[in-house]
Order: sequence, then structure tokens, then C-alpha cells
Amino acid sequence: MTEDYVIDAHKVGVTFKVDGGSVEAVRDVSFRLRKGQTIALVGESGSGKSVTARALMRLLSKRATVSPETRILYGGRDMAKLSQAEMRSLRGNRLTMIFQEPMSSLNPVYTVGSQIAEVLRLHQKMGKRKAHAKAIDLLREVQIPDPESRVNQYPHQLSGGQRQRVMIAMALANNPDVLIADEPTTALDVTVQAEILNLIKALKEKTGMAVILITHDLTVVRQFADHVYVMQHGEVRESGPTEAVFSNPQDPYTRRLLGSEPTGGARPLEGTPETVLEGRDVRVTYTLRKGGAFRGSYHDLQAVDGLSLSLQRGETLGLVGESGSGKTTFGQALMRLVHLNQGEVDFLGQRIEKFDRKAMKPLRQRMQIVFQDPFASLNPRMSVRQIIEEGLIVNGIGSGSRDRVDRVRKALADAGLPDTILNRFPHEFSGGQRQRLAIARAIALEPEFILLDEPTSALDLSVQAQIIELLRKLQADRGLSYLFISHDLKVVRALCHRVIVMQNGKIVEQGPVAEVLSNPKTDYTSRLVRAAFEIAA
Amino acid sequence: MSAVIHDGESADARVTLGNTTSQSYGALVWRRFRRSIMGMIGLALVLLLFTLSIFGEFFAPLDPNAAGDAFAPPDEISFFTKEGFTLWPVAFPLVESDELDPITFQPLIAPDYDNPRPLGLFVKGMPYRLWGLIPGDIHFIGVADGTPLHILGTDKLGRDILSRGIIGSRISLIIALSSITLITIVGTLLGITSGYIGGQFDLWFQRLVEIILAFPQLPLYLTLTTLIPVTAPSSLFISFVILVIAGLGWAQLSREVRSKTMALARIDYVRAAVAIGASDGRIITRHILPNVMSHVIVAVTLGIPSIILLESFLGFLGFAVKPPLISWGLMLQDSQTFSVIGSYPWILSPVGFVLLAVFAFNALGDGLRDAIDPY
Repeated sequence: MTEDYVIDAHKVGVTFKVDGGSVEAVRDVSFRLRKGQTIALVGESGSGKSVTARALMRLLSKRATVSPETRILYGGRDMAKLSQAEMRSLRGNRLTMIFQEPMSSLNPVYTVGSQIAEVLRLHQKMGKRKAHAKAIDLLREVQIPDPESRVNQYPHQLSGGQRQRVMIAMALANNPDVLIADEPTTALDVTVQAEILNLIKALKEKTGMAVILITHDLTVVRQFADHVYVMQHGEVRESGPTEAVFSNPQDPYTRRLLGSEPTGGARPLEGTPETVLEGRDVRVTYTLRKGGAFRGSYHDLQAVDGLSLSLQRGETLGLVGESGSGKTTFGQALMRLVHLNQGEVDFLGQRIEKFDRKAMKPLRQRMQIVFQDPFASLNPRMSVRQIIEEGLIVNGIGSGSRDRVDRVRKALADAGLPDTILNRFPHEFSGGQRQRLAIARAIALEPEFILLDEPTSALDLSVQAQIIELLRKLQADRGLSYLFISHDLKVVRALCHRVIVMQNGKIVEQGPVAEVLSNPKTDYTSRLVRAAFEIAA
Repeated sequence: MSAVIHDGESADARVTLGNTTSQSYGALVWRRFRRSIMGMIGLALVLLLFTLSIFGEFFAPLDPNAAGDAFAPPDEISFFTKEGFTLWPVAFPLVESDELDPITFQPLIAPDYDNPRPLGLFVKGMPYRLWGLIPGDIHFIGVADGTPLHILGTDKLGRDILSRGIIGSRISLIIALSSITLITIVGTLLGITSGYIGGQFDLWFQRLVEIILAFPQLPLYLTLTTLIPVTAPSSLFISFVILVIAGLGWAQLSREVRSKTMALARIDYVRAAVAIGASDGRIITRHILPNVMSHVIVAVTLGIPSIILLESFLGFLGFAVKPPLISWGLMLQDSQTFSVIGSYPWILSPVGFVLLAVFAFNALGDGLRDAIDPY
């Protein structure tokens, strides 16, 4: 009986016109949603989960065509038959949506209150004053502290988590039947993630709406969804009650997806290896200018506030903290890529904190870096060969062009890439492949130490698992030392020997991984641990 | 090795690592550029303009400096003669009729319909030397029997306007292209230097740029161009004009390049280059320059029309080019008096050349802007 379902989507198919043909982004996807139920569409990037949701809202771009078999029933009515005007009155009213990036979904020139009120006035024809009062109620409902004054603030005055709460308040303003949450927490810090998801869950129970959760995060799905649809290449590979799918996955893809959660731990160090890198009392200060057209006041921001660490050969040291905690700055200061104001740095027995770029040059090939965003870290105008060869040329490694190409081939092979790609350009590769290229660039110089700055956080789960495997293998083969910057404690647990937890430029806790994660001493660390391993806690 | 990746990363966008042929940067740009209709029209017109200009003597029906009847209107060209329709167009020569103008009592000039002369392609005409070297006397279009044909009429000295427009495009384009070349070199180098070095140098250098940008440009052009003696040779005069235009024009481009450079200098791949020990020179030439070039190419294409306009404006005021050289601006100088325009409107036709050139380069630039960053 279709009447039981709020949404009954049958054989949804979407095709995009592209240069020289078309791409079937979604094929034969069927799902059903009961009142008060949460379903999750899970899949990696490009699996068609967002397109499915947009097809439901009829928010697809003009290049997309919905297949004729598609039948989406909303409360028994065929949505394809609704006019644009009827659709408009449904959107933001009965069917609402929140997006991944809360900064760009709010208009920066209006106060949050007026943006919430607009939704109310549009759909409920509410008066100005009444809408304002309701906006305050809604902000209170989504647990924003001091809603009376927050209601008159602009989006930039709120934190990322608060902005997402405002988005949820807007979505809930008209008591919708269905809330579509498209990666609602991906852009947020881990501890905030848990709060937002718990908020959605609590509100769902209170209002009885149905939720479609779109995510790539399996932990989130496990905690929050009643029913799960695993998608790949635009098709549903497997669906069923969450517990059943997780405990007994049928489809090989689901099994692989579940198996790609980072597992295992770092191989223990043998003996007492030498120290590769040591930093003592490192400080990095940024001078900020505050207000005043003529006489601004200056104040110093301590991005890295007197931190010390030491790293042994063959060891992986995790540097963990939320965004803005100064972990990247600290790592780059140790490599002398950002200016450090104070402190001592030893690298392989040399004091390097006073070295200028010329003095650093002979050391550069022994310390390398892999960046977070594989799309920004490779020059789009250089071929694979040029990118990897550059370090060899600069440092005068290799006896000639032929020897250098051999080294490039070897680095590619070590990074798990074929050597047929020498003349191709970065834009031809996927995120995971680009990250492999960045790793190949680093290892081509045969360094002893690599700074890994969130190398996996821009990647899909299964790709992430492969990169972790690659890093482990390279460490075992070459005795590399890693400084591993991350906010994802799962990856840290899988890769690191020791971990340092940072907050606001200071170290709050450090020690062996197993110890810190199983028995966190500070509240901040335990929040991070809870967020990573048991989101609903 | 590759099998592992095919299997594992298939979900991560559908990128194959097989032996699909890689497309070069140029091929990608061209593929996107082709989709822009205006851009393609612009490109065709620009090519046409260059062809006309390079083979000017061949395309011009007459010698641009040969004098004839002053202010002769354009010859009438028609498919119809007294005998009826012809497949090939004919021109009717202008002759003085027996009637007199009732006010000026000058003989009225009118087409001679009794005497049609068929037009021809590749006809023998006035002898010329192509680029001053290769002698020839074949013209692209003309009257078959070799008598003069004024498609756009003549100017006050009786010289053929179309021929002058075609030959004049050379000087106009030379001025535009040389100054834009200078602007590109100076603006890009200074912009990259200022943006990359930063600090105090950037601070003071940008104040200099601001002074140049804030200068009232027109009075400065006029003052500077009047500085050279009237007796100076024409080539010196043109070089000076080019230098003045470039001297004021580089500032804007250097600003744009500077801001691009500053953004690029903070991007990860530049940091990665620092991390492998690359020198500043290498970072600038290998990482920053190739990535600002796309912006520069567009800025240059869109900068050419403004210089063509500037030349025609300065030429109109009599400051850009001196006779016997011909440029569009200089031709427009003839139309300074209202009475002349009223009686002989065809002498405004160089405006058409300017419009065409400006439109062509603008359309090309717009198309390029959309296509130049294909990634």
C-alpha cells in the first residue's frame, strides 16, 4: 500500500548530457520512506546519491533528463505531474533540504533571523513580527545559545556548527514531512558533527518527520539510519535494515566498503632508533591588525605556542586537533616552510631553525611533504613526469635524463601507479590517484622524513584505506618517519605509534596511541574519541 | 600494479588509467573554444583582418596614394543593367552629367548607366610591390578593363578610401600589436616580481602603479606626442606613440598579474616546490608564469581593441600617425568638419574598419576567456 509511505520512489533514473554523449548518473534507484523513519543513501563520491535527492526535489540542472520510468509518489501523488508552482509550494515547506556547506547556503547580507522569517512568511503567510518571534523559537529549538540576540546576527558571526543549526532551523520552520540532509556534517569538525546529528535525531523524534540522510560516513549511518541503501555508480547495490546490512552484507561492494574502515595498528618499533626530527619550544606568531582606519591596534595570535616533539626513525607520530588548532602550522614550521618566531629544531643532528632557504636546500630532499588537497598540490600545467622529475633536477639527483626517468618510473611503481602515465596531466586523474602522485613526488627524492598533512581526508573511504596501506608499506620498506597530521582518530589509530593532541596552539595530551585513545585524560580528547568511534554518545 | 587501482578506485570518479590518449593543453582549449560561436566569429574576423593587412597591396583595388576626383561617391554596383539581369555584377562609372547643381552651378556627377563595366576577380590593375619587394599588378577585385573602381568612394584628395583602409590597417595593427607586446612583457614581469617578492618592494611599487593608473591619460598622451618635433621621420613618430601607449598601459596588466601571482604563491604546489628545494627563479618560470599566462592571453586579446580605439582617437586629433603613412585614425581626420560629413558621408567608412577590428578582438577575447582554463 503506497499510502503508508511519505515518499515512494520507483526506478529513478537521471541522465546528464555531456560533451559527445550522455552519462547515466542514476539508474533504477527505488526507495521508500515511512513517516518518522530515517533512511540513508550511502556511497562514495560520484555514486549518484546527491543526484537522486535532487531528482526528488526536482532541483536538477537543465542538462539532466529524468528517465520516463521514474515514478516518485509523495503522499500518494505523482510528483512528475505537479506544476512548477505546486512544486515551489512543496519545496522549503513540506520537503526541505540542508546542504554540506552551511556558509554558502546562507545569504551573507541578511541576518539569520530574517532568513528564517522569510521561509515562514513565504509559506505560512505569517506577519513580520510573528515570524520574527517564531524564528527565535526555532533557534532555541535547534539549541543555539542566547537566541534573542543571535537572531539579529549575520552568518559570518556564527561558527560552522551554528550555521548548520540555522540551516536546520530554516528547514524545520514549516514542520516538513521530509528532511533531506545532504552530507550535513562533512564540512564540520568532528565534535560538532556529533552534536548536529544528535540534534537532527532529537527533532525527528519530536516532530515525526522523515529523514533522508546522504553521507559517505559509515559510522554516521550505523548510528542514525533505520534503513540503508548502498549506492555505487548510480545504482543501489544493496538495501535493507541498517543492522542487517552492517552485520551481514550481501553485496561484494558493501563488503568492501565496510572492510575499508581503517583497521590495524602501527608495527611496533624495534630497539631505540635514532631521532630524526626534534622541535623544542617552537612558537609561531601571526600579527593581526584590528579595526581603525588610521591607527589600528595590533595583537599577536599564537598559532603554535611553545610546542615540542621528537620523532624517531621509522616512527609515525600523529598530530591531532580540530581545524584552527595550529597543527599544520606546527608541522610546516618544523620543515621551515613557515617562519618560526622562536624555538629550536634539530633535523638529523643539524640545528636548522636559523637556516635560510639556501642553507635548507641540501636538506630538502631528505624531508618531504604531502598536502591535504590533491587538487591544489599538483601544478595543472605540468605533466606527471615533470612533476616528479622536478625534485630530482633541482637537487641534482640522477646521472642524466634517462636515469631520472628510471627513478620517476620507480617512484610511480612504489606509489602504486603504472608507468604509462608519464606524459599525462594531473586533471586526468581522480583524487586518490592524484594523492598517489603527490606521494610519488615525495618518495622520488628518497627522503627520510615525510610530513603528511591530512593526506586522506579529501578522499573516499575505500581510497583512504588504500593510501593508508601504501603509507604503511613505504614505511616498512624504507624506514620512513612520518609526522601525520589529521583530525580523524580512526586513521590515526591505524597508522600512528604515538599521538599528540592539540588545541588552540597548545598540546593538551600526548602518549602512545592505544593509551591516549582508550584512556583519554582530558575532556577535549575524550570528546574527539567519542566523536570518532561512537558518534551517538 | 594497475589492476589494484582499477579495482579499488573505480568508485572514485570513473577515471581510467589505460592507454587512452592524453590531450594536450592546446587541444583542450580548442575543444572548448569551438563551442563559443561568438568566439569563432571573432577568430575568423581576426584572421581575415590579418590576411587583408598582410597582403594589403593585393586586396586593395587601387594604389592608396594615387589621387583622382576628390570626394567621389562610391561607385554603384548592380546586377541589373539596361539590358536586364546579369549573372556577374557590374559597376557604373561616374561621369559629369549635363545638368548643373541649382545652387552651386557645378556639374552634377551621376553614374553612367549606358556604360556598365563588369567586375572581375584577380584582375590586372595598378602595379605595386608587395611588402616593397615583390612586384605585381594583380588585384583581388577590380574592373576587368583596369579602370579605377571606388567601392567606398574617395577622400578629399581623390584617393580610394577602401584601398587606404586596407593598407591603413597595417599601421593601426602594428601600433596595437607592438604596444600590446611591450605591455605584456613589462606588465607580466613587473606584476610577477612585485607579487612574488611582496613586502616593502611590493608596497612602494604598487604606489607607483597607482600613480600611473590615476594619471589623466588623455592630456598626457597629447603632451607627450607633441614633444617630438614635427619634422621627425614618421617611423620615429610611430615608435614614440607606441612607447607612450605602452608606458601608460602596462600598469593595469601588472596589477592583475600581481594579484594572480599572490594567489598562486600561496597554493600548495608552489609550497611543494619550495619543499623540494626549488629556487625562486624556477618557481616563477615553471609554476607561476605558466599559470598566469592564461589570464595574460585573455587580457592581451581584450587590450588590443582599446589600443585600436585609442589610435583612431589620437589619429583623429592628428597625433598618432603622420602622412604619408596611412592609419584608420588619420583617415578619420578628414571627417573633422561637419559640412564635409554632411556632403560626403562615405568618408566616415574607416569607422567601419575600427568597429570590425574592435568587435573581432573582443569576441575572440570573450571566447578565449571561457576556454582558457579547461581544467
